[in-house]
Parts: sequence; structure tokens; C-alpha cells
Amino acid sequence: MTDNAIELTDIAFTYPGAIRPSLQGVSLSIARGSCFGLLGPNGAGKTTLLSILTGILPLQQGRARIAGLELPDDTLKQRTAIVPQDYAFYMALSGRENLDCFAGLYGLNGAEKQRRIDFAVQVCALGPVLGQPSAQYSGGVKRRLNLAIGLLNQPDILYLDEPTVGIDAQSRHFILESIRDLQHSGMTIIYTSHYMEEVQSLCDALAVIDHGQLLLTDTVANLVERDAACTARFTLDRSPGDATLAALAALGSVHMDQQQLRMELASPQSLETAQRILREHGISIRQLHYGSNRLEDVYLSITEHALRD
Amino acid sequence: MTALLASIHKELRLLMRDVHGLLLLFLMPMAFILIMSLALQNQFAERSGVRLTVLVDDQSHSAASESVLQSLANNTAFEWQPAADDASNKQQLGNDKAAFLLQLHDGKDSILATITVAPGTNAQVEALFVAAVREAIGRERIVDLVNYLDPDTDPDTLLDDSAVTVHYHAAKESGKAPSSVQQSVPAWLVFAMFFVVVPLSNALISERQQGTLKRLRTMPIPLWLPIAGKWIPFFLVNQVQVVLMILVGLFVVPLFGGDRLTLGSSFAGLALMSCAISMAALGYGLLVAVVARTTDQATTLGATGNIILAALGGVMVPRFVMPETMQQLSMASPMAWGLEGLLDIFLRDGSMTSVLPEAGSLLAFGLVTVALAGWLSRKQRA
Repeated sequence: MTDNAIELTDIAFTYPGAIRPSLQGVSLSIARGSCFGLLGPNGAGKTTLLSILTGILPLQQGRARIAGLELPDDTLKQRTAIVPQDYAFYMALSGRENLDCFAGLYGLNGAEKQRRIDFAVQVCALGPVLGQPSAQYSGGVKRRLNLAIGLLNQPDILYLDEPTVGIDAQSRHFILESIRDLQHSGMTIIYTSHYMEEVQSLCDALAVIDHGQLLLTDTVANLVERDAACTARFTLDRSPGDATLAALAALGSVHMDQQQLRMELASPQSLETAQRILREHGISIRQLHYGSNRLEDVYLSITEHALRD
Repeated sequence: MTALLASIHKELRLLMRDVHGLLLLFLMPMAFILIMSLALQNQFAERSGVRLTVLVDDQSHSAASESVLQSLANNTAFEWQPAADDASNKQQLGNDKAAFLLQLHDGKDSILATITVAPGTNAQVEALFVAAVREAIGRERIVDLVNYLDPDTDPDTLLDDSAVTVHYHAAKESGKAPSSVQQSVPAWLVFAMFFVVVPLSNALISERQQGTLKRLRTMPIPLWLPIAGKWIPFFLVNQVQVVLMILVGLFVVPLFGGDRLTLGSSFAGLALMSCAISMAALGYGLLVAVVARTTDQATTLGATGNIILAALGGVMVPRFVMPETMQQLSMASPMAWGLEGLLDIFLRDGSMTSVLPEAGSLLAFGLVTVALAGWLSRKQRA
């Protein structure tokens, strides 16, 4: 018995008619009860991977073992659920009617159905709006209803596809707290998002996918500490001239982006030298960051900064 | 079973909240049936052999006028009713309840007739009626003349109707043409049943666009269940349409002065046709849902397709008034199969066996469209 909720080996998928594969050689393991971030730019292959894991797309190549079951296995659908990015419910129905419908589709009835609905309503704090047509809900309440439907079958593994897109800070905070609670109750969460601060605060580990390939998988802690001691980020009052940049370049690699200066330094002593050079050239330092990385920087350095189509 | 019931329950809830859809499926065809049954009543009456009413005002009260009326009474194309007062006569003519007012009075040598024609009376019918009256009066004059010239001769031997023999080139296809209500109820019923194409395809496309279909595919339910969850409620909607439209033909149209629908005697045949039309319409709806990418496209495609099929299939223009080529062409429309099957039941007292060809064609159409939709859907997903 493995402690992994998901084990993928050499997963590949090509859409019929496509020239290039959407996924190739993806192998990763996700620990049971963890919150795992799945990151990547738009079109990287995240949705394709989620579609394979949830049974929407067939497994073309490789092996996937989920919750102890080998894909393809229809019984797996009883133990997993997805909360799609879309509001995947019926707008003309109320929250209660939607939950009643989806619980029925899971084959639930009687007291058990009511118990599951009550649990989902409680976790997502839907009580006060349950009788209203869901079309009248705010974006935040719609997201919560979307999440609540995903909880009805009490899944071992819950896939969350950008569950906080387009909502206010309060709703986002509530949803993130709810996800933490679910994880603490033993549920494995697979979380995709473009909000790096969410992933950093929520996830134990993550994988970065781009162009259909797995670029990296590691714990969040390891990633933000990786090479952190060598990187200094300065926010300056103005852009330095060529002479300043040349002087700084002697200390390590230099990356300028408007008034943001990033340096890969050889040693902590070099940091003092860099500050001195800037002062000598009449440039004030407004902000200095030295130590652990932001996940967003790590992510951008892995996937490169270039815009995607 | 729980999942299927949940899906059906959800769909019925959605349907009940779709006011526009309900108006389209129920109110529109009911209005069409009522309006068309009443508006075309006279036109259909002439073809279907329904007798036109003639108000008779015999001011002569002579043996001659009685003889003329006796002669006219043999003409079964008309129903002869004694005229009332002037006001009543004018009212009956004015609203086309009666086609003619015939007044007989004494002339110098013989009976004279004055004919008042109702505004809605067809010119050909008018010509035939005038000819019939002339012939009756002429016949009376001949009898008088023969009696005067040769009292020993029986005038009836000279006026022998066997001089003219009528042959029919071929038996009429249906044997009987429908009245306006007999045409309108099945025609607009078939049209309405096919209109489930619009809400059905819209419901399927909305699920696809909103991501609900994707969510359903991650749930532990068979692939056919979301389709069956829609198919069954819309099938029920079709059956309710059948009952309601028939009730309109039976009770509402007569309330407004129209004819009452006759149902025939085969309930089983009617049920078979009702199921077969529904299957064909739902299959077509499924195909539209797969072909169209948006609800707007589905509405345009479904509604336009329905109108073309209806125009071709004899819903808007009865097949029996179409030229021969168009009549043959019209049988390409599944609505024509549905309409002919229902006319077999309502009009020609057909049985379940007699509607098997039409029902079979409709079921085959349903199967083919479902298969085509399945094939296209797989191709699109691939």
C-alpha cells in the first residue's frame, strides 16, 4: 500500500489530428492527504492532464494509479470529483435544487443524501442563499456552490481548477480556508491556479508543466529556498546607467527590468559591495529583498518570461 | 435509477421555468389550430363535401315553387334551411354561416328566383349554385310545357337523369379530404411536436457551454444518462402536446363556431403515431444540438429547418392542393409522414396496422438522426 494518492508514469496524450502531443512523458507522485499545485501557463497541458485523471479523456499512453486504482476504472469516479473553472451547474435552479440534482446523479437518496448536502452547505456557507436562483448569486457565492457540488460524493481526491478566479478578496479567503479544512480532514487536493501566492500559501508540493512536459516537481518549501541565498532584488529610485551596470556585473549576473534589479551574487559580502556601488552612483535603494524566493519568481524563471499565445 | 430520476426531475424543473419555451411548445400551436381551423373553414368545407347552407325564402307558396324546391333538395351539396327574418338572414350571410339566400317568387309565366351570395362564398360554388337553380326552374318549365303540349306524356321520361353517367378516373388516394379542423389539428400538432428541437438542442448546448456536461462526464453515471434525462421529459412534453391539441380540436374550435375534430377509432394507432413523431423530433433535436455550436445557431437551425419541413410536408399548405410533383416531393419531409399517419387515424378511420409505414419511417428517421448525432459528436470530441 503506497502513501501516494496519485502516481503517474510516462503519461502522454495527443489530440487526434494534432501535430504535437499535448502531454508527453509526465511522471509524478502526489502524496495522500496533501495539497498539490499544478502550475503552468495557459495551454501548457494542465487541463488535458486533469481531463485524463478525471476520466473525461482516455488514457492513451503511460500508467496512472489513482486512489489505489489503475486507470481506466469507472469506479474511480465514485472517489474523485472536480470543481471546474466554469460555473458548472444550472443557473435557473436554486442552490438547493442544484445540490439535490447532483446528489441524485451520484445515486444518493434519503437521509444520506440530506447529510451530504448539509455537509456541503456547511463547508461552503451556502445556508442563507440556498433557496435563491443561482443565476442571482454573486461570483463568490457561485464559486462556493461550484465547490459544494464537488463535495457531495465526499471524494478522496478533489481536483480544483482555478476555483478563485474572478471573485473578491473575502470570498477568495473563505474558499482557501475551506480548502485547508478539507485537506486537514484527509482529502487530497489537486489545485491549479495562476495566483502564485495562493499556491504558495496552500500547497505542500507542486509541479510545473509547460509545452506538455513536466518541467519540475518539488515541495513548495524547497522551491522557494532554492538558490535563494544568492539572489538579491533591489527596487531603485531610477534606472542605473551603463557604468553602474558594468560595475555591478563584476559581482555576478545582473537582470534589469525598469527600476527592478535582480542579481545573482556569489556571496553575502557581494551584497554590501553592490549597495555601495549603487550609493556611489547616486542611486537610492527603495526596497531590498534577499533570502527566500517568491514562488512567482521561481515559476517565471522556470517557464521563462515570454508571453504565450 | 436514482440518477436517471434526478436528471429527469432537474430537466422538468428547468422546463417549467422556461416561459418562452412553454409558449412556443403549447400556446403557439394551440393558437395556430384555432386560427387556421376557423379561417379556412369554408375553403376546406368545399373540398371535404361538407354541405353549404342555403337559406330558402319561398314567397310564392305555390305548387310550382314547391316543385322547384323539391328538385333542388335532391342536390346533396347544399343544406336547405328556411329563411327567418331579414335581420337574421343578413347576419347569417354576413358572417358566412350561410352561403346563399334563395328567394322564390311568382313571375309572369313561371317561378322567378333571386339569389343573394354571402361574401365568403367561392365564385365557382356560386356559378354551380346559380346553374342548379336555373336547371330546377327550367325543369319546372319543361314539365309545364310538356303537360300543355301532350298531357299523356310523362315529363319524367324526358328528364331522365340516367342520360349522364359519372366515372372516376381513379379512386381518390385518401377517399376523403379533411375539414379545416381535421387538417389543422394534426398539421400544427406535428409542427409543435417537432418544435421541441429548439428547447432540447438549447438545453444540450447550454450544458456543453457552461461546463456542466464536462462535470457530468466526471461523475459515476453512464454516458447515455444525461441524454436520456432530457429525452424522457421532452417525450412527455410531446405527449402532453398531443392531448392538449386534440382537446382544442374537440372543444375549443367548436366553441368559436368551427367544426369538431373527429378522432377515428384507433387509440393504439394514435399512440403509435404520437410516439413515432416524438422519436423523430427528438432525434432531429439531438442532431441540431451536435451540429450547432451555440444556442443562437441551434435556434436558427432548428426553427428554420422546422419551417421548411412544415412547408414541404403539408402543414402550412395541405398536400391535396399541391400539384402532383410537389405532393411527391412533400413526402421527403418527416412532418408529411406524421401528418399522413394522423390523417389516417382521424379522417380515414385507420388502424394501427394502416399507420405502420408512416410510424416506421418516423422511427427510422429518429434512429438515423441519433446515430448521425452520435457519430458527429465522437468526431468532434476526437
